[in-house]
Amino acid sequence: MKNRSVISISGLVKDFGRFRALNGLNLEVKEKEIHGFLGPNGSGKSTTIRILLGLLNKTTGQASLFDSDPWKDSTQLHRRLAYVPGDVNLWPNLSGGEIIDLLGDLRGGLDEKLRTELLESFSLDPTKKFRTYSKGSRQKVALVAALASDVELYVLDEPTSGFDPLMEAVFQIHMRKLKQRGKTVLLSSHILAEVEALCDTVTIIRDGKTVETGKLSNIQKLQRTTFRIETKKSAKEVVKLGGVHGYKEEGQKSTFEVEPGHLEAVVKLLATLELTHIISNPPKLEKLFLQLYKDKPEAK
Amino acid sequence: MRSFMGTWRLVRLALRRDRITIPVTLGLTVAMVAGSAPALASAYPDYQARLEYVISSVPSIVGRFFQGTIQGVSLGSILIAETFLSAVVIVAVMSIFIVSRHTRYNEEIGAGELIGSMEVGRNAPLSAALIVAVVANLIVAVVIFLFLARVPALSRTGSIFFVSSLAMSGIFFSGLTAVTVQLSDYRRGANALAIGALVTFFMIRAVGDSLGKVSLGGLRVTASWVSWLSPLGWASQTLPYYANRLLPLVLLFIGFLLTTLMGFFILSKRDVGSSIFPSKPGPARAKSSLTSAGGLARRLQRNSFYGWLAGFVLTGLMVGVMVTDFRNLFEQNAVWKQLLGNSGATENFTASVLGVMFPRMAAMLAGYVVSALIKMYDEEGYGRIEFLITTALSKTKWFFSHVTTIVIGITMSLAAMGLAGGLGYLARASVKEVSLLNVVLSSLANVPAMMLFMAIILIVFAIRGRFVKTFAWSFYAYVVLIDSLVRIFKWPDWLSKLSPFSHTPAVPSSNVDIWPLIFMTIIAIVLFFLAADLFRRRDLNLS
Repeated sequence: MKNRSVISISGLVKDFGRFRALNGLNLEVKEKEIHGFLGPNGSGKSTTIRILLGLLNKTTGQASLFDSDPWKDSTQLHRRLAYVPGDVNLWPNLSGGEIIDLLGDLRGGLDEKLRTELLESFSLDPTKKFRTYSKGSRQKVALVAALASDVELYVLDEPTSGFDPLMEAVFQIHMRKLKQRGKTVLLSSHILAEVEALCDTVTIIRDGKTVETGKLSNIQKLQRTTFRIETKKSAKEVVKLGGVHGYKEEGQKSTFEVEPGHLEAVVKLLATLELTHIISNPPKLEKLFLQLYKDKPEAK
Repeated sequence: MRSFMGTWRLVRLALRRDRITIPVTLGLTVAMVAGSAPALASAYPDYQARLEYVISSVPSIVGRFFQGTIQGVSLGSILIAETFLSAVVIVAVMSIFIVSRHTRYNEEIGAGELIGSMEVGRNAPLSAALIVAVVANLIVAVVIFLFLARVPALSRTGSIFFVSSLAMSGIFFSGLTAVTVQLSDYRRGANALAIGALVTFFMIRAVGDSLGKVSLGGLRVTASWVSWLSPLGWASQTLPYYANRLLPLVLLFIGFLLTTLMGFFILSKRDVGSSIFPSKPGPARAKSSLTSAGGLARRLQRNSFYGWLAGFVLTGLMVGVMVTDFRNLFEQNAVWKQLLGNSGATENFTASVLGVMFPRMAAMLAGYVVSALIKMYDEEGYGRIEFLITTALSKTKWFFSHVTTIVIGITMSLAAMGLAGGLGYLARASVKEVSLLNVVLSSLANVPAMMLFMAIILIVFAIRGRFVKTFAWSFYAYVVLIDSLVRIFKWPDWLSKLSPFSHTPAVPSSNVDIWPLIFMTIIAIVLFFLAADLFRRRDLNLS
């Protein structure tokens, strides 16, 4: 807990008429970290971000940004952050370059060197009218405008959903640069490989509630390990041990998952089965993601 | 015919999307023409009165420029002069908007691609748009005819030719737009090309009519051959109520067929989303005049402001030049006397006419305020506001950046209308009853009413953004039509008092009642701040 909190949300509730979009959501983002914000479509990610930016007013609960109230002090807070919304829909008859300059100046000026560098690395033509850009290029315009500003916090709502793998790599390079410069990033994303590559900590939400949060490495430790083995004797016995799930057998090959607390017993048993081949995979974020969404939300 | 598959489905979609714009335009045109007919019938009840009108109008070059050529002494001839060309312009613009909206705009926003991928023929969207435009024009024609048929002084045949010319003009411009939507790769570009053609055709006809020769002992004008170069000239040259010619209608129809075929031909050659003249690139850097809240608001409002400014200047010019013609009418006519008597000042004829005319014109031109406020709302509706107010820009500052831009726009437009009116008046009048400054002030006196009109719409915007379009256009239709409706249907007077424009006093007169101006300004400003506060408190309407 050496770094102070930049974003601190607890028990956040937001109703749209009768529909409850957020239902007691928690989110904590510390200074200088890249925080992954995950959740299926419609789970409330964008709503959370918009409350954080003072675009929407919360119904109940706590939300603070830089220790201030985002609804009351939104304008002062906005000076310290740059935001890329999920839907990039800008002025059709302004050029990309004009939009970048406009948003930069409204944010309090942009770094000329960075602007040139970003345009080049994202290979974005600033003279095209916005309406003529493709989906990926539209996101680039918003991203360049945000990253060319020197602020403390970057809030990015699915910034790379229209990117090709090449641009994804460029994006990751720029995210690492931000981290080196000691910036804080809240990255909402569906691209789990991107989150695994970039984020120190993640928060996973579902139906407007936080279901998992913490360091990515810690979360992974809490999850099931996948085993793929080949044995001469049947491995069916492992099912009798506690904490083993999804057992499948095909000839001498079998696969199953093991909960963290039961690894030792499983390995001991495997040693007695004339093991010829073994692969054990650490839990992938994707697996974790699917696991969390398939199961019923736990009452915590 | 596979390439036309799905046309009817798209027609229904288009009708659903236009369920507000078509009825509003319809109402506007019908009210203008059908509302004028009984009013003109009572203003010019007999041959003598109509003769006076014709004698004073025939020599007027400006009259020919804006109203076309006069064709003999009849109520029909007056009705044409007073309404026909304005109605043609309205149906033409309506047709242009309908066609571009259901073709190029769909391609621009990507819906065209989605529609194209389904079981829908390549020609279906354009066919559907044209069908909707043609049907809308036919409805306008039929409804107006039903009203005109009830005026005994207008012959049935003449009325049929009147509404046929009107509808065929609209249909012609829908065909023309079928071509322009192939030329430009975005809706506004296609609209601009088509409206540019409309203005050019209007001007060619205006020149041709102005060069016309007086005949029939000074009671009619024969347009010169130049008018025959313009489809608007053809529309006028059917000469309803006088000659009822069929040939010009045939010409308009052939024009529609040829342009439509050309539209379908280019469509068959081009890729979806592409165009003959693709968009030009823009600047790589923003000028410093753009990069502030006010700068952006001015940039976004600029183009439509220039368009409306032209409307204000032309209207001012028309009022200024015609004010002298009114003198003759006034001296015999009871209705006008009563109208002008109500405006408070009778000792100065010109001042009184301006006092009656300018608020009516201002109410018509309040369409500028509606379109500017809708541009403002679109920033929220299209989600662009999200980018703006997550910078250091506050909601309140954003709100006032647009409000100030529009208020300045109102003031400039009304000043321009007054200036054009003043210059037109001074160029024409033999006895100068009012000074240029007086005319400008008379026009500027409508600033408070226009601000109040705007402030009321802003309150709706501040409470519930998504209602603003419907409310603004309905309120606009109300202020434009209510005076005529109250007069025609003998509705209670207080209904017209609900329009801010009914409270503008006649300004260039010796005993101006200045209080309504002060009250309206104060109320408008209070409402601006109230709206700003309500807007600050409400959630943004984000997708």
